Amino acid sequence: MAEDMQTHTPTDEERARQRKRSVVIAWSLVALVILFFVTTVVRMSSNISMQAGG
Amino acid sequence: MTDVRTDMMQQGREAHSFALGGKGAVEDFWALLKPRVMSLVIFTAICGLLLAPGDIHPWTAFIAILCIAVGAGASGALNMAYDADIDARMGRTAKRPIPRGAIEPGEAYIFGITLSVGSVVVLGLAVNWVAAAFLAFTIFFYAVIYTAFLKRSTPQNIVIGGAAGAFPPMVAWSAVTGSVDMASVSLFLIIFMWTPPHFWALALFRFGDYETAGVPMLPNVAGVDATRRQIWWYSLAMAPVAALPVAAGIAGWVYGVAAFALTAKFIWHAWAVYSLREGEKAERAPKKLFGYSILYLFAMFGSLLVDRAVSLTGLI
Repeated sequence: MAEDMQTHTPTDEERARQRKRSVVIAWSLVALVILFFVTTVVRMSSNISMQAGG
Repeated sequence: MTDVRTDMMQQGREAHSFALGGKGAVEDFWALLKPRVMSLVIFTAICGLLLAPGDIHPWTAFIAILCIAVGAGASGALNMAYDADIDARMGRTAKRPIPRGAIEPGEAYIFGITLSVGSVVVLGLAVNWVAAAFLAFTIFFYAVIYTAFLKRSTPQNIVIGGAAGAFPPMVAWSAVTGSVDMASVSLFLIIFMWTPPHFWALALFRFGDYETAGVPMLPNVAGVDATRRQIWWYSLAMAPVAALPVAAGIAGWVYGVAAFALTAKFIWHAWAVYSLREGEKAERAPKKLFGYSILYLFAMFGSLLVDRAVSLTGLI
């Protein structure tokens, strides 16, 4: 089973790249959360002001 | 025992991840997005957004531009995934991440599809679904109609395919208005008519590359002289198109004067390409036209912004 698997021990450089990719993905997810949060606030506040105006 | 099993699982995970690729650096994924093309898309989209009638919240405007930029980058990644074989045979593109072996085509497809779906869904949820549908169509047009069908089958590839690069200001316009207006078509037409002379100028001094890769660009199929002639006619046709924003009422005389001067110089460069057939000057002419064409598009849309700023501030 183990012999069938393609084994490759990543080099330090490959590990560093993988880590950097993971960090960028994590930050992208954080940015997405902030984006959705602010968008929700903006849309809710504009809906409230429209209702108050109408 | 547990340590051995954990070790094997770790090795298995690593082997699995590297069999699927996973070697690319963040910079390689960034390169898949074609950042230089993206900068032009962002700029023209901002122009479309600012010229459109109606109000849009600054945050919503930011989301719209972000989604258009990500959508453009996603279609660039899908294009590179599909065209990896062609890119490997051309000097200009051989160092892109996939032909270089830094990223597997499958990774680029997943990356491109994820960003495409993400940008369309976020644009729909946060802005409006007309703009989102338009963005989805733009990505489909570039990644499927242009890349998968037109590029390898007809020398008119960039004439029709140029529409994909011309849609972003219309997408941004529809983000504000929620509709597709005729006035925004004038912005589309400026980029649409600009694309053939821009790419054919490049093809004239890179046509050996396209020949090697088997891409039917106009100089390889119809010949260099026919390409020079087409560049000339398309450049002449750009003149009335450049005046359309004034006719459509979205620009005033500040833009009109700038567009006249900029387009006159474009035509002058195109005339040099058409009339000079031999010698060093003839070789340089397409390169000069190509270089100027990039500046031209930025300057045309920049003058639209200046014109709008002038009319808003009431300076003139």
